[in-house]
Amino acid sequence: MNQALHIFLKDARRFWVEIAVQLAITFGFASIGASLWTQAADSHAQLLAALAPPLAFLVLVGWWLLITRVIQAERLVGDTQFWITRPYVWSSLMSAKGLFLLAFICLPFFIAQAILLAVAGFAPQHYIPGLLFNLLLYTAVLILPLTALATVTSSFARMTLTLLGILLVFIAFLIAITTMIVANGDFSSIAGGTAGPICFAIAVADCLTAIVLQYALRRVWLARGVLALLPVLLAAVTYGAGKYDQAQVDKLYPAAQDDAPIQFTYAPWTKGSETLRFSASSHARIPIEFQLAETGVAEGYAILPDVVRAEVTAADGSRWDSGWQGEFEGLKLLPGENHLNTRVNMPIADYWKFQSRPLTVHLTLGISQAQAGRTTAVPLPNGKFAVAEFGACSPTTAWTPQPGQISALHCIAPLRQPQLTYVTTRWADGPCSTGPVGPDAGVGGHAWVGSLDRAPSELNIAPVTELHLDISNAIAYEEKGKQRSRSLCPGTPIVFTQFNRVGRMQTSLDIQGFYLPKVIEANGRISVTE
Amino acid sequence: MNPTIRTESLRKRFGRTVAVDGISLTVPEGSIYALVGANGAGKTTLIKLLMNILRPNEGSAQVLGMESATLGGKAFNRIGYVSENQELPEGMTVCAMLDYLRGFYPTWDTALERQLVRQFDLPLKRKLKHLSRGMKMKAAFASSLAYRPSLIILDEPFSGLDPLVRDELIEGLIELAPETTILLSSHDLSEIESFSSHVGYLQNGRLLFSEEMTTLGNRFRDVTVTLNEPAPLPAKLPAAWLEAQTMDCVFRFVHSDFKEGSTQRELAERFPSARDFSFEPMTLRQIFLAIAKTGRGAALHSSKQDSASKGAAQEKKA
Repeated sequence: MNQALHIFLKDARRFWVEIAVQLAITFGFASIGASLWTQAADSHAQLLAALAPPLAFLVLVGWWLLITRVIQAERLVGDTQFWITRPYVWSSLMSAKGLFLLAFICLPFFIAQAILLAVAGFAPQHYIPGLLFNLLLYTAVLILPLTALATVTSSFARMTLTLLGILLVFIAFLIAITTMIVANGDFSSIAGGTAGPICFAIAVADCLTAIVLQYALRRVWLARGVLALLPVLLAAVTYGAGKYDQAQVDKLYPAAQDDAPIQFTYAPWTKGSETLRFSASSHARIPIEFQLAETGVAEGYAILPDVVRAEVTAADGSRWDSGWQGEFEGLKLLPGENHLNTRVNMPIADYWKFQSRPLTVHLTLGISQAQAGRTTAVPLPNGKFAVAEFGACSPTTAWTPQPGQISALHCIAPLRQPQLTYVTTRWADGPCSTGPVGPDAGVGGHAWVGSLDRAPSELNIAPVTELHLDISNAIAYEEKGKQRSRSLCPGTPIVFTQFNRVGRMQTSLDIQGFYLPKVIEANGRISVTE
Repeated sequence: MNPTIRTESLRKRFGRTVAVDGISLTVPEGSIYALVGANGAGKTTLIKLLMNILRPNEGSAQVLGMESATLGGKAFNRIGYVSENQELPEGMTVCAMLDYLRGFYPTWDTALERQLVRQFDLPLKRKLKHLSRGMKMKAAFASSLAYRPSLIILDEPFSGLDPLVRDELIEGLIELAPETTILLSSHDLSEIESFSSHVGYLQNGRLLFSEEMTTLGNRFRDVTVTLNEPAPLPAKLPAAWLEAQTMDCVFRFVHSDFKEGSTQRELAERFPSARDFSFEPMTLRQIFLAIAKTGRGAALHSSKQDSASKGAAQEKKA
């Protein structure tokens, strides 16, 4: 019999209890998820909702246990193991372990996800590539690193301690990355960033190298060294990719010609009184806000500011360049929406050089232009409804303004965020007894959901993404600070308009006589008054 | 004839400690080679180097014609290894372990397996973790002998076992001996003396000597010279004379290069006034004690490690 299969069958027999527990947890999680999406929002559903996160966590813990147990059944660390003086072929042993993980972790996870999709109302056969991509993500982010760790540790206890140590290193890494982002700006909005895919590939290659080294040579310290190198590599790549992305912005966002789809002008519309406070340090960065007005967005288009760059020049010729920074928090501009705030962060050392002086600012914005595409109008039903290429929604009822009235929409999408979608509807300002709200009645409400840049799947243990459809004007503000919830009446059209990116470009404006905000540094705190 | 094991200047360091110090060793095919030495002498390290469990810092070793550093996978089809420190798949029953291992070895002899199980009285349905140490060793033996390996390597296999279990294991081993080469390590001379054909002595990582048991026994004698009158210890003694001491009219030493006839003549010439000479054969234990106490390994110039032959080994077995 093939040696790999022989070892695999031994492991399957030996760990049948662990396998059974793991399968029970996985399918328990699947059944709870399924109940959550099919039941009404009652107390039973709330209990299920409370159980889902711990069960999802248990699925991951179960993986950790099973991976450690099966890899360390033929321990690769030490020199007293039974198997190392037996005719084990290393490639067969490694294949057997791989087969085990595939059969008892990947396959059940894949099946559970397919079941969840089906229960949520999405035909799983249409999402096989996305499901496989999700599996690939989990393999790269969890299964492979856990396997690599199990190959370089000698026992479950050591593996656990190592994991804790890695957790600490990871937190330190996150802090370092955050510091780096604060220092250099966040480039995640620039075409998804370069660092992510490279880090992903490096992490996979590094873990695979450590695993193969261990199985082929049992060079424990060499394999540990390879794994220890990973955070250093990731930090270096993140730093390097940040610099690379900066350099790539000019290529990604060519300068707009005369027929730019949007024009910006500097138009401060509020007088600053807002005060921002944070801890003082030599690395502190002062937010410099620019209030702009825009014109020219054509009907059927939306403009998404992605990145901004400010070049500040003082009268004496001294100059500061912010580099590209992304500070728009998902802002989308439609025709008629003519104000926006943008800001760049300036190191405090530079701030002191330019404070209280009239400055000339050359502000450049990198924007994405998106065009309206498929539009779906659905008269709001009382129950769940599907929206093609988007997902499925169901009305959520609440106690206010009247029990049983629809107060919001709860939507789910298969595997990932939908394409960037603009959702519009009309709120009823009174009871729904008069029927659906017409296009000229009630109060308009809108929401943006989804993204222009989407991966085939998001890293999510549940294959269904819950969408936060925050429709504007849901609350009516009345006299004396009173608030009143509005409702959606059955039959009222809900319009879903999808937007697709049609281009990226730069547009710029000059601001003369600009003053930096007022900054006070005292008692270890910095106060910024816009 | 090719030796089953040959090492050349094998050296292994752990930090500053030299565990194996330039060992050159030959284990002839068909021999039962006992590697003896005190605890910490380097026996286990040497065996681990041979099994490619550890890698040498210098030198090389060939096992069954293969470089030990490349030993692995299917090469272990022909090698049986049992060590007192070896872990067993404790979660398995004896039966499950034998069933599992059967799939690895093309030469697995089911009849021999059954015979060993009977001979060792192994409880097939019990998990290994529930067995006594002796029973575990028996299970390890059975799983390492049932495929009739060409080479069996045993690292302190009898350590801590009661005499009954030890004899059972030795019995099982000897039954297989005619068709295999056996290398075993021990710090207890008495347990290997009865059935080994060759012996190598390790001290502080160095191989002091390596030769056939018969020639070793023949060349060591406890010599007593009775003189007519008290005499001081001779000023310059031959290197082959170990542990020399004198008391009144008696001069005693261990001769490490005894030759029937010529040694008597040599002593008669050296001690013309001697009243009597006696030449007592020595046990292996006495020989090693003499060597260890003298610490004059270098003086054992008549090491015969290369003269060992399979013929002598078979003779000893017979």
